[in-house]
Amino acid sequence: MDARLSRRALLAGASGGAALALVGTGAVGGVGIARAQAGSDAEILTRALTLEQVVIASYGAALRDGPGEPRLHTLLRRLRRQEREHADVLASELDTLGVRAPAVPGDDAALARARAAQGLRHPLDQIVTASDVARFAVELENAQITLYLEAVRELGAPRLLTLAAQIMAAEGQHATVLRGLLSELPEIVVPSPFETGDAAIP
Amino acid sequence: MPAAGLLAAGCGGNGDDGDGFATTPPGRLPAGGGDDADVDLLNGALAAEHRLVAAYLSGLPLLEGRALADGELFLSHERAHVRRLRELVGSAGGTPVGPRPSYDFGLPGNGRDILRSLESLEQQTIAVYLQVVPRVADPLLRATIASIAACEAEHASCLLERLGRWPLPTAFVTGGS
Repeated sequence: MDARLSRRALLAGASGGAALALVGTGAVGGVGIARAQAGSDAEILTRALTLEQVVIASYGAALRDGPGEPRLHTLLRRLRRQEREHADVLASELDTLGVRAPAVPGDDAALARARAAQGLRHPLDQIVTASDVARFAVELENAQITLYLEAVRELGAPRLLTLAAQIMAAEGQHATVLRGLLSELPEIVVPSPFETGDAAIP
Repeated sequence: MPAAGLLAAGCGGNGDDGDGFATTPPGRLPAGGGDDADVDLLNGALAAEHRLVAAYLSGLPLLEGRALADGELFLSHERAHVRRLRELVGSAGGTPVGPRPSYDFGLPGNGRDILRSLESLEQQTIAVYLQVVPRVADPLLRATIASIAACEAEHASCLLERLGRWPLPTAFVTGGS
């Protein structure tokens, strides 16, 4: 029997609530392990979607409050659109697992709290110049790369592993383009042969 | 360097001493599921990296300015990937595959052709890594593979930009797979 297919069948049969409830219960046997992994996957996807939503809202703040340079705006809109695509797919995967998507930050105060909870330090009121915006955005992308790297370690479902790696690579591309706004030196733009999200912000 | 040299670009200079033939061609990977399978998967990725090293070595003489600076840096990254993958294969009890004696990269006539070829090869290598990720059993190994795939995606972005194309073509990097 194809282990992956049987696992998918188990996941399809497990409600999200039941799967989450089994996390940490020490359930034994194949079904229990599969459900526990589905619950763990749901937690990881929820973390990823929460951060994606913070990033989307942060790009919105940068578009609203940052400098009105057309080329920068074009880039920020493209970045935000791609983050929304990530969020849509993550929400769909969570829905498949029977888990509700986390709430979107509703206003600037909620966004500031959510950013603090994610460890994002760049102040929302200090995105005045194009360089400010680029640094602000690199911090966002680095945080996402770090999170998706964790996801690649921790997720169980093969298709979710692929999804996490695909999004992580896209966030790496975002960070690269943003670092390119801050420097022409290739070793700054692509600072390491191993992207882990911990490169210094130029 | 004559463009014809790219027809049979040797892959020397990276310290490899294998027999020169990858047992698993890039893009065709075995199923995963255990340590032995991980070795085969890593060797598939290593074969793809050897090809990229050869491509950068062959292409650098036709690049200039910022494209050349990018190419030199990216070659150093590919060599770092080769070193890491060789270590990983070795530590898993396997034998790292070596580079082929030659690779056919066609007949690029100028730097722009080289950039297009390199971008295409980067995409193909990304596709290999994305096939490897869900098949590798070891979580830390998966993370290493994903971090390399992301680096290749960053290279591809830079190469697209040098070609005057949009560097962020899709929200999900697939390597065209």
